Amino acid sequence: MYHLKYGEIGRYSPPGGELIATFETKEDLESKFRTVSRKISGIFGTSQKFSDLTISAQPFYTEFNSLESTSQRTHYSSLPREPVCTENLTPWLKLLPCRSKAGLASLLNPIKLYDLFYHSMSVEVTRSQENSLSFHQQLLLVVELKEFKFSQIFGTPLIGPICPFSSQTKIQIEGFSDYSSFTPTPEEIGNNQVGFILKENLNNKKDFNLHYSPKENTNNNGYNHNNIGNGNSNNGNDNNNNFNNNGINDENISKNQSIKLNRFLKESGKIRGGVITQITNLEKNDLHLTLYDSLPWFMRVYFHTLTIKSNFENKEIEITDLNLEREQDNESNLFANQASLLRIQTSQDHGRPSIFELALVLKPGETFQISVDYLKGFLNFEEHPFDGNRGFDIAPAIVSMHGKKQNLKKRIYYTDSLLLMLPTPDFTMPYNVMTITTTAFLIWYGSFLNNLTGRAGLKLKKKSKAKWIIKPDKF
Amino acid sequence: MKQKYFSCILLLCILLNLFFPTCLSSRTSQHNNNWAVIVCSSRFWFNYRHVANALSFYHTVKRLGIPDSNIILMLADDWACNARNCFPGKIFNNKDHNLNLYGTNVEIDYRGYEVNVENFLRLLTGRHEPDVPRNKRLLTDSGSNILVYLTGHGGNEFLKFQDSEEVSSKDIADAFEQMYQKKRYNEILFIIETCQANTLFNKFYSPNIAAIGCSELGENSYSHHFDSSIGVQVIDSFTYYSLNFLNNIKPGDSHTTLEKYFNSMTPKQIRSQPRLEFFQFQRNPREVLVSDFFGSIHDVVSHPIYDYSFQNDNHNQNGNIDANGEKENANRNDNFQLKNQFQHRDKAQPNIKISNQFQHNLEDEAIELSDNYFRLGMIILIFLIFFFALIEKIITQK
Repeated sequence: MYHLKYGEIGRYSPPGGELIATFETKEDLESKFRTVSRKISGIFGTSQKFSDLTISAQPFYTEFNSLESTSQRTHYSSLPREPVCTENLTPWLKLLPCRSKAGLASLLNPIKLYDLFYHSMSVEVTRSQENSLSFHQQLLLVVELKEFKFSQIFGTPLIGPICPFSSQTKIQIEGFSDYSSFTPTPEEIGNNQVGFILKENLNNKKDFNLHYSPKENTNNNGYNHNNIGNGNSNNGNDNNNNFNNNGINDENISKNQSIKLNRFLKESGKIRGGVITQITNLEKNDLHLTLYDSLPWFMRVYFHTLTIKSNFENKEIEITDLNLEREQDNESNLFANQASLLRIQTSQDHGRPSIFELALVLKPGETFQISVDYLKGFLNFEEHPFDGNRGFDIAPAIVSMHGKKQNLKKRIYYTDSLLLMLPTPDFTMPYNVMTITTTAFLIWYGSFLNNLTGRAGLKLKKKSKAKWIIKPDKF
Repeated sequence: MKQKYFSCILLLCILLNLFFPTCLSSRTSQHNNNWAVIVCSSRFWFNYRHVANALSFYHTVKRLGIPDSNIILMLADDWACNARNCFPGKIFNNKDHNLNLYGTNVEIDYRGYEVNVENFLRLLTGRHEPDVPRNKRLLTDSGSNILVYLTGHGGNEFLKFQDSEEVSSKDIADAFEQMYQKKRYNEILFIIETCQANTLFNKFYSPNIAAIGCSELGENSYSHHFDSSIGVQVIDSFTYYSLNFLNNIKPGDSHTTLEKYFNSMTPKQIRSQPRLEFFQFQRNPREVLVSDFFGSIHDVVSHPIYDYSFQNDNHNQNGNIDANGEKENANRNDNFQLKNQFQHRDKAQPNIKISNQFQHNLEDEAIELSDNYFRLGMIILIFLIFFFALIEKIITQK
């Protein structure tokens, strides 16, 4: 789990690609989403499968956008298999006003970027009520450093001009309070964070190579984080490049993390299996979580096997079936019980996935284990991907934290994606069948035809010695 | 007096029209934009050399001036950020590793499972579903020269896509015919690098297509060399020798012909018989330039970051010892000598086939006919004027 390994500093993306689109009205969501996903995947060089209806669905109770409640107008699609490489970075960079020619983005070199522990890019476009457009691009990298220096992290110091379109180019580093160890000296000094504003430095043609050399012997053998965000708003050219850096040691994990997530397959052969999701509350307070899980149709989920076990109690937890009406969206009712089933969508073969959404209340230190069993379905011959023997990637489940009382930020967590092995057919069978049947048919038909149309009298006549031959009388 | 002036001017106009050719005919149709479709149709790590082939041509075409918006790149799998790649983000076509083909600015239009026969034929014919994005469409018109490059595994009259499906020569020929009927191209250069590649253009029947294949029926196409640090073959012979030639071509080159490019590769080098064939080409096939297809006639300004600086393989003085234990320089010198040795022998029998050279189209005949009518009309008009002038003189005299 990324937040467990690397710390909670931003919104991690699930493996592969993810597309979330919120529309104004509930009508005709699928065709609208299809159009949007095709255009966006064309821009970013991802595959068109986002619009595939067997994968995409609507999470009702997970709120991706912290600004407004968007239930039932949001369409979500996740492709865990999607490769992320230079061809995705190129259009992402081309969306920046100065691309990678000026400004902080000139540090980004794909050779370095794709050799890291973790990298993700995201673009978020929101339209607020006043009809102003907010465009937010985020690049999240996890770098292991021996030395905290730009030329080490990015391979190059920041040379070259600042982007003239940005109103501010700012580097903000969190988690360090000894500002005197930085070269050059920072302009802004805050509570556990320092900031560098890069207007004059670079225009004087001096290289900006941020260097941190601690005077004391601090134990810094954890992971360092870089978060480059670039925000544009339509009102003014308010271009704010933030560079966040967070040093986390191994001892800090339990301090910063809220939950621990795990998800795995419980398989017993080619016929049936089960999915188990484990959630642990690492906080000191009760946590209100919603779990959204969407499993493709070829995992034929049996919802009567949906059970929740807790490490605090011996018996299973009772799941209250709320199955609320879609108009009701009162948060306090959702978390009245320990575990409530908010929604179930059964799957359709070769069509939509099966979905269940749960609302959970976890006590501090409690672990819930949610398990559901399924039978594996058969795909049509054409539905198998070209490398069908690799298996199918199942999209991660989404756990979202709802916290009004605790004053937490609404956070989204993703589990791991799964790899499911389906019974695959022998793909050479059509060829084999055609070959055998045509051969057999040809042998029969060929000999048939030969016998029918072959010429008589081709055999040599034996000269018979008998001279008298009895010919039959004509009847 | 006025009449005299008027008739003189009229005569001058007519004479000018007679002696200068009319603007009705346009026999030499020039192209006004360039497109490229580059396809790597194989999947799986061990087919690394196919993506290196495709990306080498992508590089060449970009360097010579075709912008990304006019290039459709189809790669059937992800090699650069593959978990098996020891050099993340990099794809090489040479074991020297002197050029990263992936670069920092690559745009792939069709990736992964989208590279299939249906999408390929839809791309060529332009028959897409309504919401297919712009970068996946071949937006050519009647003035476009298109370079189509296919690489992968193939056989007698088929090309394999993704190890599961095939496209046949008849399919491609029909797709090109649809393009011709819809006026979607001016000229096409079709390069194919697979085993038994030349069979794939047996069935072409549309005009203005030039095709280069690297191996005849019954022959295989071979890879060039193996890279032990990556663990697979990194490039095919045909592409390797193509690049050796194309690297010497600068943007805006106006004298290197396609024939010269084709003759730069000998069968001995690539170990198979290549073929260059022209199908009903309207102009002289021997005048077709490499930059007609590989370059762009527009001036494309490339940013310094996005420039790809090429190092010519022939001049790379590298004293490393390769996997076979031989010195690399020695290898190259041998190749160079062999090339010289067999150059003149191959010249005697060039593998160029020109079918239906200088075919007179019906359109051309119609244009010639109308030209003649016009000229005839002009002559009649002159006589009429002289005649009327004479009559006038006679009348006024009387």
